[in-house]
Amino acid sequence: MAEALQTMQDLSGKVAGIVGSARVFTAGDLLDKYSANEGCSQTGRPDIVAQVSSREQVQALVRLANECGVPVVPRSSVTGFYGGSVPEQGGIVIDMSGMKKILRIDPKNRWALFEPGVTYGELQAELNAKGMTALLPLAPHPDKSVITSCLEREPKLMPKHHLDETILTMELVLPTGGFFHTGSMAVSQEPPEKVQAAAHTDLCNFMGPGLDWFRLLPGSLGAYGIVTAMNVKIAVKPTMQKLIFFGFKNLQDAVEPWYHLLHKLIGDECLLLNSRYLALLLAKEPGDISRLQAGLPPYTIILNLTAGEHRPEEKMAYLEKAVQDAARIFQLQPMESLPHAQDAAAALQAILSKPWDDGGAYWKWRGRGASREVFFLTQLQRAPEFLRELQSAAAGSGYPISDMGLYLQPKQNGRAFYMEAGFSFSPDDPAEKARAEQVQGEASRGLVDKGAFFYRVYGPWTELVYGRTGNLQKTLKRIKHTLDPNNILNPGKLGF
Amino acid sequence: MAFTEMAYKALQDIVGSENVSNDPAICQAYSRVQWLPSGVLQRERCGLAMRPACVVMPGSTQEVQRILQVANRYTFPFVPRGSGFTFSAFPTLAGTIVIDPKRMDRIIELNEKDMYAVIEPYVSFVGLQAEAMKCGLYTPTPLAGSQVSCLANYSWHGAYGNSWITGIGAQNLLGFELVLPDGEVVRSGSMACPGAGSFWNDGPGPDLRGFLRSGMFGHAGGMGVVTKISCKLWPYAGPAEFPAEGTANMKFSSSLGENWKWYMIKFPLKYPEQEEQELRKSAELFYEMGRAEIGEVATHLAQQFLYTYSSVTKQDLFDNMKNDVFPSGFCVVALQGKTSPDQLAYEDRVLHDIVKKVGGIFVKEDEPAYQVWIKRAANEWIRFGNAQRLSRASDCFSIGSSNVDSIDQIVYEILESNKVGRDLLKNEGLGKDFVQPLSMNGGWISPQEYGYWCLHTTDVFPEQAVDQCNQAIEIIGKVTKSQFERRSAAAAIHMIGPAYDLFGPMMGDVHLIVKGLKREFDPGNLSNPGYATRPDVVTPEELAKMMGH
Amino acid sequence: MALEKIEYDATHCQRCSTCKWSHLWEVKSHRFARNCPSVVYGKFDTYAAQGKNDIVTGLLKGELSWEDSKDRLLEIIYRCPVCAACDVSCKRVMDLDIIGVLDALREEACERGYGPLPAHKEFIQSIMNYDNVWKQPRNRRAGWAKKLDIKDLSKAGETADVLYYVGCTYAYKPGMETVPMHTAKILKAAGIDFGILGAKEICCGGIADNVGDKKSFEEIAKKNLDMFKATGAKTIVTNCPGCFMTFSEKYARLQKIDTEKLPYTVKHSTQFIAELLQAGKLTFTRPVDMTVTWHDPCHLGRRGEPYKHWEGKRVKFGLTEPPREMNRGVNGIYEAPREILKAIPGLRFVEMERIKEYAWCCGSGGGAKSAYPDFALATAKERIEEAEATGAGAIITSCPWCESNLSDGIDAGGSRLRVGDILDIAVQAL
Repeated sequence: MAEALQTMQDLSGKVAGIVGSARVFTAGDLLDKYSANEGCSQTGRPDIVAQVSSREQVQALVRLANECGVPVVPRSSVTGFYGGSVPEQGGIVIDMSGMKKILRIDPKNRWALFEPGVTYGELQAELNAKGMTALLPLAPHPDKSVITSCLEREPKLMPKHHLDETILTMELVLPTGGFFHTGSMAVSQEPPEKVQAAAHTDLCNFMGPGLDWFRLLPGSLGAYGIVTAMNVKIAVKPTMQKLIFFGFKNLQDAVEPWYHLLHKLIGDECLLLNSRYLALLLAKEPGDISRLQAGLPPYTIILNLTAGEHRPEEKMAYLEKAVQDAARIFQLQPMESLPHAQDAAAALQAILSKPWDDGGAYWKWRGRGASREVFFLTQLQRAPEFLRELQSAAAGSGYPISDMGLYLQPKQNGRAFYMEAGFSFSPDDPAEKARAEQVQGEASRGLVDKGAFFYRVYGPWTELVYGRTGNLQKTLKRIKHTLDPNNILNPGKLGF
Repeated sequence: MAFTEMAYKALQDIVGSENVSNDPAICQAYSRVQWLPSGVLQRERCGLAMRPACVVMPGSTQEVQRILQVANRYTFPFVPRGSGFTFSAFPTLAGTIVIDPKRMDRIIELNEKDMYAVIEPYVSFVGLQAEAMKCGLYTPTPLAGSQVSCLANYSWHGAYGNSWITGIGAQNLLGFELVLPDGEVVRSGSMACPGAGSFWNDGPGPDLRGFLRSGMFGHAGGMGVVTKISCKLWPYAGPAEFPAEGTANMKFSSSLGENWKWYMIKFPLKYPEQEEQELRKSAELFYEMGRAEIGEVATHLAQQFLYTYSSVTKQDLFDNMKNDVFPSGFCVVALQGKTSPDQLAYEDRVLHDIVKKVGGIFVKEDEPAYQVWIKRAANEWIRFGNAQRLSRASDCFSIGSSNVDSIDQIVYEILESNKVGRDLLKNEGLGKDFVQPLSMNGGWISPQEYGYWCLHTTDVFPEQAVDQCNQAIEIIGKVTKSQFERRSAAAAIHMIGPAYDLFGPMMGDVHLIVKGLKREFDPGNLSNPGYATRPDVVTPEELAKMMGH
Repeated sequence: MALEKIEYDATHCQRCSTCKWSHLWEVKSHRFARNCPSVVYGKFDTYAAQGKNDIVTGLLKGELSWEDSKDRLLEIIYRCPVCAACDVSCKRVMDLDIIGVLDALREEACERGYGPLPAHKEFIQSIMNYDNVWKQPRNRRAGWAKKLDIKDLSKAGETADVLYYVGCTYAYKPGMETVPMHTAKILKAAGIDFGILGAKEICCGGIADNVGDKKSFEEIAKKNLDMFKATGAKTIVTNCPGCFMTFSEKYARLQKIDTEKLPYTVKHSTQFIAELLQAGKLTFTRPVDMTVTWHDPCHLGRRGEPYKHWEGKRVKFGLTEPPREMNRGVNGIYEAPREILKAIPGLRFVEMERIKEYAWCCGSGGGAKSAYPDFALATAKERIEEAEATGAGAIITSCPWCESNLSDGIDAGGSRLRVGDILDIAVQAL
């Protein structure tokens, strides 16, 4: 760090030398955008924002940062949510949202290779044209980078086991500035899109070398490396779909039937929403939300039956029969539409197949303009217990329970469930905001105490969670120290 | 420092004197691994250095922790192991201790609803399988046989007959508890959070499985001792219990019931002239099945599997080979009616469509191959795997080539590596004394997770003789060299032990990263030093010595 | 050198651990998945067959010497009931003569003068002095038969179709004399012409062979073979699985002939009685209201297979020349006792998890009970727990050694299970 004391001007000059002066920002409103995320209160201003267009530029910036001892914060989505890309210690934000190349699609091996700036909308458009589909989370923000979503481990709508871990190979820039190819991409140092031609690999081995990077990087908030290209699993687009709803008065009633449906492997996309979240998704106008919510079942399992290229009618027939059998066992009434939302099936099918794109506010913010969320993993049988905890936290803070959104997403055929509660508020009303944040904090503490598994650690959750996990954080820090001896990449995240 | 009397006394204090022994007779049983050519050669090189200075049997994580603390105090190496089948379970340096986990054999939890089990190191697949099946679940079973440790298999490598659904060991490991080489305990996944249960694999934050495993393999015991894991169990619609049949011995295997249906598919092609077409047709079948997402098992087996599974004795095996009654290679598919009988019937129809489309033929019931596979071996793959493949032919066995990538690349690699093997046989006589035609011939293709990826092995069967084992290693070495020259995806899977020094520079200097981690967590190189990566970079001369040249 | 005979077998063990588990297809629970009493008790791999293979390898290659660890070696070798569960499991995957290895180690110990152990020597000396293992006078051997009017075939001129050989323990052990008495009653009920050897009956000598004392065994066997020849017996029936196996397997091996080439046929009493039931010569008519489970004695089951003589060598790839057919435990006596139990009206028969060639040994055999009583007791307790898990009220067997050791296991573990001989039950049904 011989040059650590150089001036900001020197540094920005060097950054400009790498990305071009038009891509470097050191002041003004633009920096504000990089100083905060939508879903959290954490702020942190970068010193420099560099909009990059290539892996080489990322490498050069990371090397420069190492030379100067300046932090680097990678960012791929235009809109951030939970503070992962908000600088903790200033430094350079490497904005990769402009790296938008879809480098290759391999329908036979069912993957797509692309750069960090590619959004679900962009990817899905290309895939659909080839009869394929991306593995989507629930109505992601239109700005959401697919790579960020994968690295943040957002839950996918399809709980199929083999689609739980979707990352195949990666090109990444290491914290010391070298670049590295993971899995079978490692056999060639050519640019990722040229590896298939340069070597005998189809980029399908995601493991190794040296470490299982496809597991170590996700959840690290950029602390272990910067991904500059990634290929992920995609799926064959169904030729036939049918959406089924099961309504429940309370969550406990959904537990046994849902285990049954999942253990029997019935259907593809499958999730549960409470009336609030479902209304936010389905309301044609924000003004319709309350009315729609009032008419919907308190909890709805949404199950999409799909069939592919082979005998689709026959497949649909056995699936529908299996649904009927399950309904009989548990004395449920499967519905093809919802009360007060006759076109719910078609509308939801569209919503589940793409990012949120209605042109208005993001669906989670439609209610009151903003929201705070609490999310974790649990076993379905414990979900009702955690719901009570959420409701109790809301009640304790005076937050109207009817405004609380709830989303349960099975993973690995029901082995685990992602559980999310959303607390919307008006961003213009400081009291409302404070109340939503109070619920978020109270609920988080109560949930962690009761054993909710906060698998993604952002902001205040870091201490809350790692305070209870023994040596885990220390071990992660030791790994970090080995990979990033100068602590350059997104320092402060994960508590180190 | 080394393993001293004081160290031994300290171990006695930790586990009780009945659970530790430095008696040469006791330790002799932990001193050789003869079924692998590399093991034979290792024994030749290391001699009695492979006999541990003592064997210690901890009964709990805390005892493991204390053992490693003693190892660090007196600086002696330790070897963690499961059942002790594979090469990394043995010392290579004098003064090493072996940690035998026999006293840690509890199935701590078997969660029927959330489809996982929490187990200690000495739980075998077979015990877990029996318990899981009673709950309508099952575990994949390794081709090493179900007598091996489930925990060691998942932490280390693990390849299964039904990987079409389950993937390999890496995919079946959920959370874990690890005693790091310095004696610190770390837990990963939901197991790390008190009260959260052991159902989930990643987090909080980064997934530490990415640190524990490093590609096809784990760190070969080089990152401490895994003392507990949670692992996946899978929906199973077969019988919960099987009759106590007693004398069935190898003549048949009990049916998995009407919810399971098995098929063998072959292609009307001549062998060896049309080997490539046969493999490519098989690949086509798997790609189609993957797109359709049907099936519970889908794999391609070389003739060798029919020989071994049709043989009650070694003599049978050699007699059968003379008769040449089996197809040279064939695909095996199983469907499981997990949703309903209608789903099974639907998948049956789709499978028939696909087989017709790719030009395959279903092996008929009266054919010998059907009798061997469907009537006997098939269900064994699901219940307990089977080690016969490794052993019957010559009592010595090694993977000749292997690869992990797309199904297409697997076919490419089998053809190329078999060609290298056959050329070596033809031109240099390498392997002429091996069991032929089983060596470097055909291949086991194991598509994983509905064909999103795939692995394969071809095998060599030398005798347990130094000269033959040397030949086997030479063949494997030359196949590996060709993989690097051809830039095969297979080059990426060789990273273990000294191979890091050899191949790391070709893989983005990954050896420096792994060595850095080893330095961080095990600077004294005490955790299984013979097989794991050393903390320091070695010179080419040292490397040559380590590699046995 | 005894070890050289089995060098290939010992040195080619893959140490895959199959020898430690019941055949994988037969495992029904994690609790009762293991098959080897020796390694379950001793825990170190050394006590399993794979460890003993390593020991042999070490001794043969000079890596290990008796002087290094004589006492421990003797414990490793002899704290084992030689039940052959390891041998049966191993043969699922390999072609190794594991029982040959265990036997050779004992023979080696004896050749060196280290074996057999003092407790074993006591038995053998008793045979030499008294013709029985229990140091009892010869003239009390047929005490059970008084007033039963049974032919004594040792007397000149006396003949019968069947020689009923009682065995030392049934003859002498208090409380067990009911078994020969019931046997006689059943044979008479079926109209069988049989006789015994009276006070002239000599111990089969199996124990001497089991512990590796080949010389003593040969001496005893010769006496018995001469006696059988003198009586002209074509069919020998015995209740004791140890005697059964000795006469059929060990005496054939000693003479280097197949069992079927022996001048006599040996039948275990359960075999003989099952045949009588099948032939309609015997019928059970009185109900017996019990739930029972059956314990397969190792010497009747796995080790009760006919011997197939082989002399030859290992050639390339470990093939044998000439081809060798090895015993695999599948041809032991498993069905006969079950047929008897199933033929008894009112009797409810339930199986344990580990049965037939995968049965868990009682822990008594191979001299283990006399030299290592704690080991034998622990092994019996394991079997009792397994039997209890079936819900049966009694564990039935047909071996004096098993019965005695299981009984000790019941007492030590405080179990409410009863143990009994199959004929004690069968006779109630007559």
